[in-house]
Amino acid sequence: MSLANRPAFKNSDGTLYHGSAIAYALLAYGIGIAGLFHESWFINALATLLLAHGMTIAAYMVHECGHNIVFKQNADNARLGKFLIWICGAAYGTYEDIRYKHFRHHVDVDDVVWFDYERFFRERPSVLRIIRALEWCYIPAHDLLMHFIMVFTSFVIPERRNQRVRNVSVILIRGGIFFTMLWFFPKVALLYAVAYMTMMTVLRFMDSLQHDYGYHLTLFSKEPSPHKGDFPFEQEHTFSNPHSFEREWINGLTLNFGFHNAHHAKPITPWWRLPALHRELFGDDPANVIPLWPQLRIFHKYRLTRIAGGSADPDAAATDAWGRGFLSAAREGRATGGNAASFLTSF
Amino acid sequence: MMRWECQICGFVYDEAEGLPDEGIAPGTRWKDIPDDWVCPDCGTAKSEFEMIELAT
Repeated sequence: MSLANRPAFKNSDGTLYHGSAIAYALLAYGIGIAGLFHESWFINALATLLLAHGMTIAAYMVHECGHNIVFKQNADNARLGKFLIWICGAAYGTYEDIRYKHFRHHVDVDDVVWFDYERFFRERPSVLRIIRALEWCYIPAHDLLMHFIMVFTSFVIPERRNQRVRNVSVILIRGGIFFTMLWFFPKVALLYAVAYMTMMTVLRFMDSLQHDYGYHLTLFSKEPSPHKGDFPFEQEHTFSNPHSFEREWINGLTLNFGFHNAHHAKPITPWWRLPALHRELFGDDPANVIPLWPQLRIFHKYRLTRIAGGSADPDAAATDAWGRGFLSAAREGRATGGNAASFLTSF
Repeated sequence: MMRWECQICGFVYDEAEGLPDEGIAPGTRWKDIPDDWVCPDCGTAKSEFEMIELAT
């Protein structure tokens, strides 16, 4: 590609912000993987964190590409998004399916899904017991289950049978590399798995409290969602959870994804403008966001409750709360939140 | 000729190009597109589009 044909960033400051995020994700991924081969466990630990963060930024850049925010030409956004889903391990399905489910989420004002994990767990109590045991140990087993389904997406989801050639190709390539590493460099493969689960944990931590509506099994049906296009309802049931409201730069660690009300108010806003948009639309009152400490308390305290419904814990007063009630409960550390809402799992 | 952008997914409707695949001829003005038309990319309503520039 000549310089003249190089994709042009959509925003005037996109070269700096999007360019830096892309470069960081790729460098962190490359240096992180290289660091896993080092003899020093200290370097290994740093490399695992760097790799996890590089994959996290890649995942959020997939989100930016999905909204066509990065480049002027939407075909260029799609090309970058299709590349980055390889970095963050979401290439088993298609980029188009990731976008489709994500836009149903925005347009239908709903979590529109195919997989009914609550029913799945009800019908398989032994699987639920294993998931609960792993989650007790802070292993993101619920989301691992979702990603496991994603790996075999065309064999599990009837509507995606036509993707089997692609699906098997990706399994052979990624699985081949992983098991080759596991055979010759087991430490590298295991640390990669730790980095991947760390990325999943960051993504689920951010997603967990951002909406209080449940899911509907209408991904492949034309059935309209009850609140489709109801943008006041959308804002009432969307919550922002920045890492810090005072030190905005810290939120760059997750590309400002915590300013979720602003994102839902104007989804084509690039990540670095979300804090300003939040203050413009919702003011400077920190009472409008969920602070970090209650989030951490909820993440720890309700990690088992979140797996299937969340209604079994009498201490979680917010299980029936909606809207502002949910926000108040979350700010007090009493909302349970949810799992399995990642935009990387397109079902 | 103007260009209109979906505020949800970033899809751009260019009046000069129209959307021949959707039966909208090149040169069709935004105001002449039916109000119940939805974004072909994400399905949001026509009202969620904003004008972004005058196409050259």
